[in-house]
Amino acid sequence: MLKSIIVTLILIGSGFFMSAFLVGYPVAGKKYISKQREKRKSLRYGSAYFIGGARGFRGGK
Amino acid sequence: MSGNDDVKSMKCAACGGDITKSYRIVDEDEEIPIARCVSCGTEYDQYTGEYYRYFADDFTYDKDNSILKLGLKGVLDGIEYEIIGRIRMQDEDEYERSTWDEWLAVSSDGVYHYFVEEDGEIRSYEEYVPQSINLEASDSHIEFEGKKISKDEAYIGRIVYFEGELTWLPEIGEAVTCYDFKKDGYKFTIEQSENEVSITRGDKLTYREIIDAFGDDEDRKLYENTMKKRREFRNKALVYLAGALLALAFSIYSCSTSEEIKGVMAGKKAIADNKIITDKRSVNYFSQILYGPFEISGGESLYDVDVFIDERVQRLYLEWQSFRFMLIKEDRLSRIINNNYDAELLKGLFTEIDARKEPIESYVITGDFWDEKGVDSDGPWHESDLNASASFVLKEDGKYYAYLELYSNKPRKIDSVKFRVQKVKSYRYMIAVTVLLLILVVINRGKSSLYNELPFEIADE
Repeated sequence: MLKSIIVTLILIGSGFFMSAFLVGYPVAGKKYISKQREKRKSLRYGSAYFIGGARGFRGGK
Repeated sequence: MSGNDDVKSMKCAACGGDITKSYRIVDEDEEIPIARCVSCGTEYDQYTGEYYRYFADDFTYDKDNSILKLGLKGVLDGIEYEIIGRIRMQDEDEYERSTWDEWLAVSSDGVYHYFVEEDGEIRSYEEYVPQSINLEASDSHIEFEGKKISKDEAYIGRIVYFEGELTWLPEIGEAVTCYDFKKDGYKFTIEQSENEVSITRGDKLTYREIIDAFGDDEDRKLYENTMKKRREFRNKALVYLAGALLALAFSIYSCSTSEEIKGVMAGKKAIADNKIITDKRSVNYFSQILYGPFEISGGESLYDVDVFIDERVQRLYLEWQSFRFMLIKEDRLSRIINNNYDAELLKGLFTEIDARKEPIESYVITGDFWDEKGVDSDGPWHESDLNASASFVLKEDGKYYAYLELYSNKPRKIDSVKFRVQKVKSYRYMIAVTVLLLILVVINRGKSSLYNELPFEIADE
């Protein structure tokens, strides 16, 4: 009984913590910009990344 | 007297040949067991007495797994009973074992009494003389003390085993038509065989009553342990259920709480409108629109962006359109373009946006809308996808622009693609917690019914 109460509290607590601190979601803003900046440093003009237009799966049609 | 003598050496009623186990295919692919004569091929299915004589072992292998046995004496409600006989019946409609035992007891004052044991439950029955009964009241029903009972409710039991002293001489495979019904708070059973009708009235007994009457100290100890563990599992299931409901309530609250950011499409600058892009294979159309600025506030929060086709503006029919949505901070854009929002300047900037070493956008979402039709083995189909959405966390408050880039194989009105931005609460983890807790509820609920230290089945009480 006590074990089940502890398990329930741990599960709900974990769920609440991850919901409150938005764990696992992509982050926009400064974090995104710095990640993109690092990514672009390693790319050269003319690589696939620089091909214009939308990036959907239809884009290559 | 015992029921299963020489059943395996039985011969075919038609030709005297040997009988062997066989199968019959029903409902296209279901195999049901039957007995078949190896000489003349006569088949004996579950609607024949021979079937039960041949397959008797399959219906009786667990006949000793019971607290009751011949010769056992016990006191129930102050009356002493002695078990003197037993019949085991099998439901004729079932191919698998579906049996119940009718234990005949005689009380100290010489009255016959029945204990009917089925699926871990025991009912106590006594013979009953009704004020009126008509088993042939009509083609569709029988009548019992003014109560009409449909003949459709009848089921056939087949005797598969008997032992001890009984009030009549049964035969293995003998069919008994049974009616079970409730009246005046009691459960009645009418059993009608070829030459006999028996009417009994009874009530359910708890296993504690049966064990107190017929069991020994070891049975009582195992019963107490079993009930204690079952209670523990049941209480655990209740705790998990309470947790699951709490997590579900939190999920529903989070799911239903959203705040739409107003005016995200209020300011619109069309930088390019269906510009023709040609390559060796096709001609496509390219549009660029800058919306905003609009205010996003509220600290670190989760946002949902929904981008969708508004078919009231233009239907998407057998075509495709890709989009790229960028969220751009106003002060960042203003600094780069020196506060000059000239369309040509913006066009140049956004055309080369991917080539910039320093990113302008705070976030990007891409997706596709499509509408297709065709024909497959199920016939013609027509499907489309007109919505796309994504979630992200944004920490910085302030004014933002939304830059929308559209690419399609046909000219499309730029106003047909719309978007909304909503501040939402995360609920996916609480949904996962709800599911996990519900799984624990099911596991513990199952254990609370099945846990058993006794050597015979007892139902959940």
